[in-house]
Amino acid sequence: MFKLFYKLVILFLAFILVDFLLGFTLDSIIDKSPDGRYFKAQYSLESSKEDIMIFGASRAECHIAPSIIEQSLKMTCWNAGRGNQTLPFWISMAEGILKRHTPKLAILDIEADYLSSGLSGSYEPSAGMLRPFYREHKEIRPMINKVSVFEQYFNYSKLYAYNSSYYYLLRPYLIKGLDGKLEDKGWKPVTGQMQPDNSTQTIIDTKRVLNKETVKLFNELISNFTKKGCPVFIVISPRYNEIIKNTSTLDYIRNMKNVYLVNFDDNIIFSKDYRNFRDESHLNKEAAIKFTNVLVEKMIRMNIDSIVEQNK
Amino acid sequence: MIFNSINYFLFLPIVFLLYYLIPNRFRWILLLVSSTVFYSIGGVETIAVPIIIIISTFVSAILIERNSDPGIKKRYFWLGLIINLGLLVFFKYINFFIATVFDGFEIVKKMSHEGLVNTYQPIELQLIVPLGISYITFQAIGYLIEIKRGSHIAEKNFGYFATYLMFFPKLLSGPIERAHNFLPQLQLEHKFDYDQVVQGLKRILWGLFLKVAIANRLALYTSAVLDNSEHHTGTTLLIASLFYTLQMFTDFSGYTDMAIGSAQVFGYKLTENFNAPFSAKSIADFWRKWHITLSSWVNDYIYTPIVINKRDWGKSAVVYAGMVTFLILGFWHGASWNYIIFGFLQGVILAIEFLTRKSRKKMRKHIPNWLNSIIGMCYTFLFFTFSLIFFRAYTASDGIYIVSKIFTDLGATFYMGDIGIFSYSLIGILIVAIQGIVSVYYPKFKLLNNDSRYIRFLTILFLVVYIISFGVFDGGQFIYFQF
Repeated sequence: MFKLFYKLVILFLAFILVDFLLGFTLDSIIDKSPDGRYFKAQYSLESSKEDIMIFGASRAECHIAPSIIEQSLKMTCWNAGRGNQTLPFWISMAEGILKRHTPKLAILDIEADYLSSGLSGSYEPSAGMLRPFYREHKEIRPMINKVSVFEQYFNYSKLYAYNSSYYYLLRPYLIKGLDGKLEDKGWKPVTGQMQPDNSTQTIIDTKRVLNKETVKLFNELISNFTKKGCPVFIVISPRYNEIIKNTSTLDYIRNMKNVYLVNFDDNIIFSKDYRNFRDESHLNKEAAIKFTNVLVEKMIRMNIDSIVEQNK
Repeated sequence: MIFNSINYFLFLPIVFLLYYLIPNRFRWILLLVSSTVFYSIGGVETIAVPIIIIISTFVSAILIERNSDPGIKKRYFWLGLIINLGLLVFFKYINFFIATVFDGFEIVKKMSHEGLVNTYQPIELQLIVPLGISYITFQAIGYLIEIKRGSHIAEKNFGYFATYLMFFPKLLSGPIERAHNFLPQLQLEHKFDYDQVVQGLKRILWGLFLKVAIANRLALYTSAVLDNSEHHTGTTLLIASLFYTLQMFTDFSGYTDMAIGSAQVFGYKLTENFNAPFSAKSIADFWRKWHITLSSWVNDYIYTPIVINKRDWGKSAVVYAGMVTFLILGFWHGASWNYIIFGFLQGVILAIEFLTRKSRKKMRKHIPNWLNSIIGMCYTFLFFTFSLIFFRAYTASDGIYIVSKIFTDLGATFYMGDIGIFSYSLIGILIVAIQGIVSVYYPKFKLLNNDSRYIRFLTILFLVVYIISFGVFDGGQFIYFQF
């Protein structure tokens, strides 16, 4: 029995050594990354100091171009949106950013019915993206720890933290700009065009019950910003062939303090023309530029300067 | 509790330490208690079912043995059999039978244009299927048959018998262990054997690697494609189907490695369930290498008795027995037509192989051996993949849809999904393929059991690092748990 115990200890020590060496290498790969999704997450968490921060999933990442906002509003802007991520990721990001910097305003792109959807399956993708930063950023730990009670122990291993990340860690060294070019400031435009189809128009007019867990985390995210004097603009991006009339989510947001729902009536201009879309959910690059321009105009009409001033 | 859960990796060392700390005569009690705990975590609502099976089988076996009158023996045998099969049918198949009867009513109604039933509303009983019921039942039935045949003595120690059916390493998905292999081991003195324990731990590690790093990884792709078959081309569906075969193998053989390895650390030897199945050159050969304990169970208790019973039929007896056996085997997997089609396809191909064996033998003489082997292996792999499409599908019509799309919509483009996930899947397949080739053709170069302790050590370290770096830890339970 002693021999077995001894061998297991040797194996454990060898693993710690490998974990340390490979972990050190992987940390360096992220630190020196020219661009890419991990570079973007690290920049958002550790270095971003822009006046306007954009949050959301792939639709935020693809639809809102910071450079257009910068030119029109004369404020710096960074798009921290990330595909396949939802509230757990946004909260972690917001906590990381707000710890050292308060933006003048935040833009959050969500679905019209978002608060009625559950969050099951949202924690793991968020943790998958953020685990490499677990040790250095205490503020992101609560969301990662929701994956399982063992996360806090597993994340002592750097190899675990970098699980399945190697492809996206190394890719920016070989091909630059696949996750968005540096000069686009977090924006990741997509190219291509949908095929015309005969699908019938979807009208979103629903009173689905709000999901308690989603609402709780949403409130947490919003209050993180508003407590620090950062107003939040909520944007509903267009979808192909979809018209939004009303939802419980929209009603809920309209009643929130220091949260500004950007009028989405213009979505119809985009949503009825398939040429604006790469797929049903994503505007292509040309349409995204148009959409950002429309968004900025609306924000100006909402008197954005006085909103920012008011919240200082 | 599942083998790839953290709970199991806390549970196993605790039981292991206690096992070797207590005297040998009490160890079976520890195994029984820990197996009950193992079952209860996740299946406490249905713990009564294995208890009923254990008691009824134990009592029936003793009564069969004690009575010399063949009629009474038969009655007790049938009593035990009906209780076992009754529980299995009730929990696993009742909803299927109800739905089938209602479907029948609906067809009659449509044909006669008269309202036999006013509205079509199949009743679905909300039953929790007891964990591992198919495996426990098959072991119990096999035991009763052996007692009735007089080829095995009934176990008189109820605790031993309960431990045989409940032994946690094989409780949920086999191997389907024969009583004559397991029960004698309970009475042996299990001293701590370093080599055996290390071998067991290595198998657990390899099984974990297959499940977490390969099967779960492949599942990310196969689920994304096969669950949305209407959105994918035939080429993509073909690739996903090929991946699914490998996922099924790594998932199930990974589970089996963990089961056998877990038993081995306690000094128990369970029956092997796989023997390089993709090296098989025919489907008949394949079923001797795949899920061996199930194949041999149906061979001993269904196929052979039918062949003997119908021996007057000549070749037809073999074909008939094969069809019946594989239809039952398909149905054993689940109460759904897609499983029955899976079994039916195996039966048909085995019949064809049987009826054409002489002509194929003649043909093989004109082809070099190595080419024969490659053709045989490719044919076996592709046919099994084809049949697994029905196995994986939610309904028979889903399976037919996927097959028809594969044959009619093959093109150059295919959906790769996340390139990271796809490429890690390919790396995993490559590792398993190399391991498979090495173990069959170059056993000397086996890495985990290499002569050099440095190579053994580095291999173990590599597997640990690979599992932690590429494992998919939220991949859920093993595929065969549902059966």
